[in-house]
Amino acid sequence: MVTATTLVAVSAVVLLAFAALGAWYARGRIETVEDYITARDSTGGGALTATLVASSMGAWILFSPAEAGAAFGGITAVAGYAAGSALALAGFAVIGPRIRDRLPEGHSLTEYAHARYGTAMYTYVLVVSVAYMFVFLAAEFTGIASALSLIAGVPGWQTAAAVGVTVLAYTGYGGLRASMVTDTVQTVLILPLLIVSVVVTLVALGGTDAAHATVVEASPELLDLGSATGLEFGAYVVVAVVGAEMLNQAWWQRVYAARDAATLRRSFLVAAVAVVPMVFLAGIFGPIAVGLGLVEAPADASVSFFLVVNEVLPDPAVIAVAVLAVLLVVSSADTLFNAIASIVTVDLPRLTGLAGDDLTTAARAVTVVVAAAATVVGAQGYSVLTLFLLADLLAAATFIPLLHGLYSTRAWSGGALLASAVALAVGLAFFPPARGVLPLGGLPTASYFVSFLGAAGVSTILALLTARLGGREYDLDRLGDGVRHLDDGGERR
Amino acid sequence: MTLSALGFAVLIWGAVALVALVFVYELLAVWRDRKEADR
Repeated sequence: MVTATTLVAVSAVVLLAFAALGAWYARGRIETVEDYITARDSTGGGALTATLVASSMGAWILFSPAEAGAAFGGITAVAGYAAGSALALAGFAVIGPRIRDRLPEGHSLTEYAHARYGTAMYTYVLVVSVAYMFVFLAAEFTGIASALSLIAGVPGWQTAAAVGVTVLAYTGYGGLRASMVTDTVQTVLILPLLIVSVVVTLVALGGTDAAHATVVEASPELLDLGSATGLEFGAYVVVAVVGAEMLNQAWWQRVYAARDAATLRRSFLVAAVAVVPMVFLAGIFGPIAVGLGLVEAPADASVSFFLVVNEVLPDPAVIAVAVLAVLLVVSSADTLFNAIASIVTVDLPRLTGLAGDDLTTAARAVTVVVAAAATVVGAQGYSVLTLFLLADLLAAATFIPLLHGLYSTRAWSGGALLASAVALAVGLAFFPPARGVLPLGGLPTASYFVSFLGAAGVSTILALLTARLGGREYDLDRLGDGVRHLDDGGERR
Repeated sequence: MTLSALGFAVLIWGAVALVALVFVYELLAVWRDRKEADR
């Protein structure tokens, strides 16, 4: 049995090492707010791929895919998670160069929303994006707190506070550059640790044949490639993940951080390929946990990975898995701290007139607030699943009308807002948790499948229809005109 | 259609091999970045 003291000590060493690395690297490199939130054109293929893999692979991969594998349709549901994660990154390989081309001085998706569609769409996108990123962050803190509690009984507040303070120390000081350099090292550690965790667990189980036999004996439906439940889950989770990730500011920051468009395209595609086996390997622990009889209550499904690890691995291997979980949460937490700070900071010159060092100070202050809020929420152990799904639904209803404006000269503010609002209404009408809150008695049965695919489908149709019928014409060549460089008092370079 | 033991093994070891490949790619890419930065 791993003791809480051992686990806290090991985690503290890992966390302090990354705080030191991030702070050391950022020393002397943060001269302006642009360095802090954009790191424009600075990042080569290796570091960019690493930061994409590290940022997208949070501690969630040790929870959600395995939960899907155990409770939402088995191996096909896991495949859906893997596909959604990959498609989102592959999507940025396509739209990323377009974003850089149309808004060469840009920083954020809200800046794009404001330039293309005006204040109303900007406000809506800001709310959806920040809500999604914050819920993601809170879920990461909740996840690591529950993982270390399960493994060794570490109190949730200790885990959340340790992660929050150390990540804040280097991200608050070094911003995006510190986040990306630590991501590079984290990726180089996460990949072999994941391999070792999976291989050692499989060996302890008696090999893949024994693991397969265990699942087939207990719940063969979890390995059914044509499982209707699994396919349905896989389909809506693809829409949910892709929609949400398109509104994740972390990717927009990295679009600009890439050295050039070719580096951007290659790195997003390699990261897309990388996340598929990572999610799959973590997700397969769900069916295995069911096969071993470890999932006794519905709540157990979300911690399937750790139930299997605790059951079959010796203490040193359990500690290695805990380190993997800490690395995963740190790599995504630093990304989200800086992403949320940047999305707020970018708009401050326009809204408040702040500039220069004051703007950098404001960005650091926002990072502190985000870190404190995530630590407090994460320590509570709330279930954030419904909030996560709601944020995903908001994004699923919004991302197509939003991105349509990058390509269509006919897309316009009213049309995009109408498409998003109607799609959200359709999505909510079939959103299972809404049935207990909204008066929707006369409608067919609610399901996430109809809710998410309905929202994405309706938003697509209405975005195209309103663009065609609106009779507006927008010159995409002037999209970047209102987007300012943040240095030199906000003067445009 | 239930996934066979062979299919299960191929999927798992294939995924492990792909993660290992990405790891090697990543090491080489970071090393190349460093070399270019030192030039």
